[in-house]
Amino acid sequence: MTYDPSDVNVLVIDDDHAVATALRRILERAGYGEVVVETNPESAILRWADRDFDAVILDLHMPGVDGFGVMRALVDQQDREDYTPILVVTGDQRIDVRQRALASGAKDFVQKPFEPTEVVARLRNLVDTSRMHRRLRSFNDALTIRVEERTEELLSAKLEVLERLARAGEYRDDMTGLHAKRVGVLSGLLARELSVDQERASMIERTAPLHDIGKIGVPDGILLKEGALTPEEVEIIRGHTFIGAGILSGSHFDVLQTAERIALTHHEHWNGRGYPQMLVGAAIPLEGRIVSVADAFDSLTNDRPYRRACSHDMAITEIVAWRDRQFDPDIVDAICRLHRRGTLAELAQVVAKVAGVPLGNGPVGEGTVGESPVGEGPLGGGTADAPESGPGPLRANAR
Amino acid sequence: MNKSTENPSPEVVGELRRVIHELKNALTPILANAQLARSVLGPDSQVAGELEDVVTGAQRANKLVGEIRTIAEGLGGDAP
Repeated sequence: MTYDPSDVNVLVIDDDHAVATALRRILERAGYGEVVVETNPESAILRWADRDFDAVILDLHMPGVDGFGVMRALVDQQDREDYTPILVVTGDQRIDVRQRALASGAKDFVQKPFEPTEVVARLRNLVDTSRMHRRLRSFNDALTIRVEERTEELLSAKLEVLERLARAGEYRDDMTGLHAKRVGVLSGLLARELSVDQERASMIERTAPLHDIGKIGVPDGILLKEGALTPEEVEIIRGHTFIGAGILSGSHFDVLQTAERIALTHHEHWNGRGYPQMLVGAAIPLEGRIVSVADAFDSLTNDRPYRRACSHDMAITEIVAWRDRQFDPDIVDAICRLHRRGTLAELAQVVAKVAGVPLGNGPVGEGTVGESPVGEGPLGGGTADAPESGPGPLRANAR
Repeated sequence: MNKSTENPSPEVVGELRRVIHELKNALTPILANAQLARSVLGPDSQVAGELEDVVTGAQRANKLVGEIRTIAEGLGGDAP
């Protein structure tokens, strides 16, 4: 690689004024664009902090901060991967001094008294290397960004396919996919309200819509059945948790592993009386506990064929009644805070806007079975005698 | 036999090193400036011979500094 020396700026640090001046003259004669001379090491360090130099020519033996101190300061100001183009000029021929200098960041040496041609030749090599380093670095940065973009694209494509699969699974009761989307957004809000870190919260938001993906494996005859379900049919419906987890399993993507946990555990209850594994309390993954609350709230506050939507106040009251039983108390407290702050009121509008669907109560048929859990809780009777398509949202109270 | 009469103290060796260092620093601008001037003026310059002598003289002085350094090393052993 060649470069035009007039584009190159060099910082010369030597406490001996005559030596520093000789170096400046050598570089100027060789056509270097800008040569800044510093005889005071402290101000040289400040100069370096101020701007990018293509190279530094540095004396080792100086009073106050010596060359080693200067190198430490220069290296400290840079990223670990940055190349520090330091050429040391020294009269010291001792091997251990050279080794120390190399360890401190020196890239090459010139012996005092030096030949001008040698200084210029070594400096040219140093600037070449420095510029190649910079090029490589920006090339690497660009590649990293591209890889990240592609990975994100790939992941989005996977998620989109799964979302469409989930939509197919729920087509019978959530044709617009709005319920799934709202559960996603609300789960994200709850996660953030619970101070889950940003990355995990957005992962929960993206994967929560897949919670019922396993319904795709439940036959129409059972999913859409009117009237009472047999115990066997209840078991099959409960199987949507296993089926969903199975569809999502085996991925090396964190996000799909999260989706898998949600699909498997969003019907578990805090008191251990949910399904399918009857996990208790914190043994239920946080994502599952969050989606459980979000799913319940959204089901209660949207119309179902067998009932009108209940108000947000009523839904919150109902969820609070099941605090510590169906729901994690911390998450119930979190949704109460969101409710008080008016965040929940905006939710439906936000989701409809994002989805590009006019606001309404959804197509007839939405929610015949939907998200109603089979089990104890406000949305499920807990027995085969009071299955999903039961008479109303507050079934648990009616029992 | 007193060892200190054979080997100078570390302080003396250190002082010697400092002088060597200063000599090299002093020679550096002489050699560099003379060579620069020579290359600027070219071989046909009226003072080409004079400059040549400055360069040669500085190089000779530098060799002598090197010899002093070798002696200092011999005196100091593992001196700084």
